[in-house]
Amino acid sequence: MVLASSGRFSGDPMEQNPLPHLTPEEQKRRRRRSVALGLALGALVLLFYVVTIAKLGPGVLNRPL
Amino acid sequence: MTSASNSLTDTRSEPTVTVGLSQGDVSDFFALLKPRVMFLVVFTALVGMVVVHPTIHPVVAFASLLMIAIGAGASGCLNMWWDADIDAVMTRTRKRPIPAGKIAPGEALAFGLTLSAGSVIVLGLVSNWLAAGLLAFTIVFYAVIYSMWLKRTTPQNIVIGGAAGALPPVVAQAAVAGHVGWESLILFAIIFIWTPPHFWALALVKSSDYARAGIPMMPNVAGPDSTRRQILAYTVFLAPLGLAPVAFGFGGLAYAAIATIGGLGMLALAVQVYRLREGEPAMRVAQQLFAFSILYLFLLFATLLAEHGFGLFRPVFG
Repeated sequence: MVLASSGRFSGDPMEQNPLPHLTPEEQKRRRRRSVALGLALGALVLLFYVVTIAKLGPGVLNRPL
Repeated sequence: MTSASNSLTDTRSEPTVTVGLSQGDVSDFFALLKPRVMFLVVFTALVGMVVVHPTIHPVVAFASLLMIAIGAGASGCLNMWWDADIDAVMTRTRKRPIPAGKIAPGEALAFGLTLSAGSVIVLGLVSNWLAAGLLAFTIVFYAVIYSMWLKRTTPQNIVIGGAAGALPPVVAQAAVAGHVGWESLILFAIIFIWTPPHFWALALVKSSDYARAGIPMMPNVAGPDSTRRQILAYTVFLAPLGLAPVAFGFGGLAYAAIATIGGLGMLALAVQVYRLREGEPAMRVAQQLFAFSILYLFLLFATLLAEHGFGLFRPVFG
């Protein structure tokens, strides 16, 4: 816990590890990286789904309970 | 050089806290994967798949191809991480993301290792573990055997290291057929024997660049004349080897014509490189051989793809 600028104790971890100031260009780059990572993860989910269906076919749902 | 990580150091208290944020753009991370090499890998791997007429689902084949491409990109990324110091002093490579200060070496290492492990595991899950093992071997061979060991120690670096670039058709055949057949081994041999004349032609042109970086390429160690002799020797072997798919029955009429004409073109240029040894004409013909070698390999594989992927195969014998 650290003493925040208001003079009160704060439990916010960002107060202990403040992020460096980002220029607008750095913020844009970070946003593009985040979007690319999100798209890559989404594509991976879709790939696993499609490959599962392709490998197992309709039998994927035909399992003993 | 700009800082590759935006760091903030808290000097008010101990221990020191450092927060790092990546400075790289998406395009910088993509550049780490050596997209042009990745395209060649996808292309040769695709041919390795279609020549065996796989019966597996196209989605599984596509996923396998994607993982082979990512694995190749990962090995390129690890190569850039290891070679950042020499990339910085070579004109051809100094704008790569790490020497340009756009991506920190640690980021590239983490990126390369993550993609390596991910591509091998997913390839194993979607196809089989023989293909995954071969992909892992390819990555280790390129990143460790070639980049970390051979590249800086022997003029045979690209000869032996060329095996990594020749393996994608083998990995691809293993992925779709479950075994390694002679079709992919012949494709491996063609790429493997093609590599020395291709890279040594470039090394003749860029010898001062390689010398500055301290890389023992053949022209810098054995001399340009010996390199020219070896280029010719490899090409004499390559031209008939290019016809091996015809002899083994998976290269048709169109392939036979392309391989014959292309092989003669390679031979003619290799003879010119051997004969012209001084000044601008020597550099020009070496550059022509380098460029033509790319076209030659592309045409060989594109013809096989057309014959087997689009039903244009017409047998030469019978």
